[in-house]
Amino acid sequence: MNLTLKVWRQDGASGSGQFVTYPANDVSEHMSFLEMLDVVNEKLEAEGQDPIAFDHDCREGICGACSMQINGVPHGPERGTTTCQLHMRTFKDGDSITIEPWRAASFPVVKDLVVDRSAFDRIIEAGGYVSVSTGATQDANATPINKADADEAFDYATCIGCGACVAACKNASASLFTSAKLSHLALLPQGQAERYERTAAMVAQMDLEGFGACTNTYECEAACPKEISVNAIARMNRDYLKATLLGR
Amino acid sequence: MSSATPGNPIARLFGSTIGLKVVMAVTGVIWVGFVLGHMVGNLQIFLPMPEDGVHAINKYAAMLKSTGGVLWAVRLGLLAAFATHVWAAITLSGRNKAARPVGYDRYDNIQSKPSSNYMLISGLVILGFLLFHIAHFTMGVVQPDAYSRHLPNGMHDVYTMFVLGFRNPVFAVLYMVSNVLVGLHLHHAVSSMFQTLGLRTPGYRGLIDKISPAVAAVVIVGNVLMPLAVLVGVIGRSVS
Repeated sequence: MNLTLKVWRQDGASGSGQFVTYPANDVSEHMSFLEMLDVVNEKLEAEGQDPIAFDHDCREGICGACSMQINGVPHGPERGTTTCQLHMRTFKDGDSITIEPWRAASFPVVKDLVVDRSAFDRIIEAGGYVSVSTGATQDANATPINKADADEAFDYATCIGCGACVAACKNASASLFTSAKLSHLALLPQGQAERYERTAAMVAQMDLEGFGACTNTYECEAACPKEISVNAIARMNRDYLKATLLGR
Repeated sequence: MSSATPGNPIARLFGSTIGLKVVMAVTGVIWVGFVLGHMVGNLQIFLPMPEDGVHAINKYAAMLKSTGGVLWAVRLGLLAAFATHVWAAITLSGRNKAARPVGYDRYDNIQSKPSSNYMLISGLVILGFLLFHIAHFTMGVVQPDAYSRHLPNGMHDVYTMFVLGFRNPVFAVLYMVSNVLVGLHLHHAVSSMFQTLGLRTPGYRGLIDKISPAVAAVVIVGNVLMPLAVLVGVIGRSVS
């Protein structure tokens, strides 16, 4: 199939950017979106042009590196799918595709489609861990955990930190990311000791990074490639209220 | 991990995005209660005229006025809640706009409801409507003649004021349109409050998401019926 790409090109963090249109011809429907961009880049390089910069790493949907707004939706039109797992059969011959970087003050553009997501790292550093020595490996059944809680905690732990939630939110809020990281620890016994301190610290860091507020439109939930539920945000709000008002 | 930030809990709440949303939810729920109560009180306009010739809504208005200090306490409480709600909304909105200084060329909605994306606009229109409504029916400066009507016993004739107000198609349409916007605002707001307060838990999520459309429908139907009934002459034909 033949496509027309409208791609955001920006030369460095301080440079101004603009859309540049590129043809993508003879694209196989079996290619992933990133493979399609690889082919476009090979052609650009052969012509002596600067290739389109984009983040990628594992290309199997688990690392969270790939990050682009495809036709107005983070990771493109397929629900529960990262850009690297999005296949070109989702598109039709002759389609025009708009490709933009994540847009958020807290995710400054590094180059073209690459954004700096270290704000997420700083939210994790503020408390997204359990600071106890675990000691020697204990027996697998020594700490009983309810199956439903274990499953829900695992659902939240599947967050790959790609930033699609921020990209999709009209307020560029990081609530789904932060709450997923909080909830997967809040549901497990190991996370209880520091639960409320963690919530207060990570929410404070989230605010400090300049992300917007959650206005409960739930666009993040629909855009999340891991389909993480906004139930996590309700839990974060509840724990934050306990941490703040009750001084827990 | 640093321990919880020092300072008093309320100051901490007002200083965070989640805290400001909680402030909006609490002040909002006060107003949802008022909007419903106000509507139920006014629906007495549909009651038949009693034998003593004093319409139920006139007795209701006189009863409210007779509470004196309580009425003013409620009014001031509502004003404080409203002002806080608007202040928090504008503060958060400024922050949200700053969080995305460069927008997208193309931005598609996947599942968000239109009512949730236009809360600031519907809210500001409601603010304008509220000011007009107070000037119209509480202060009587829009239609001084209709406002000045009194019954022979000296009671304020709210029934006549109401009918004369909505017999004017411009006012009737203004009230109907404004109340549709109030309904749309609540269509998002009511369920959103539960989420903000952390009460929209998985088990109750389905139920809570039905409350918003239900409240919105009740508010729209109830508040649109009143001006509409006067406009088409179902009630108040005896008033001149």
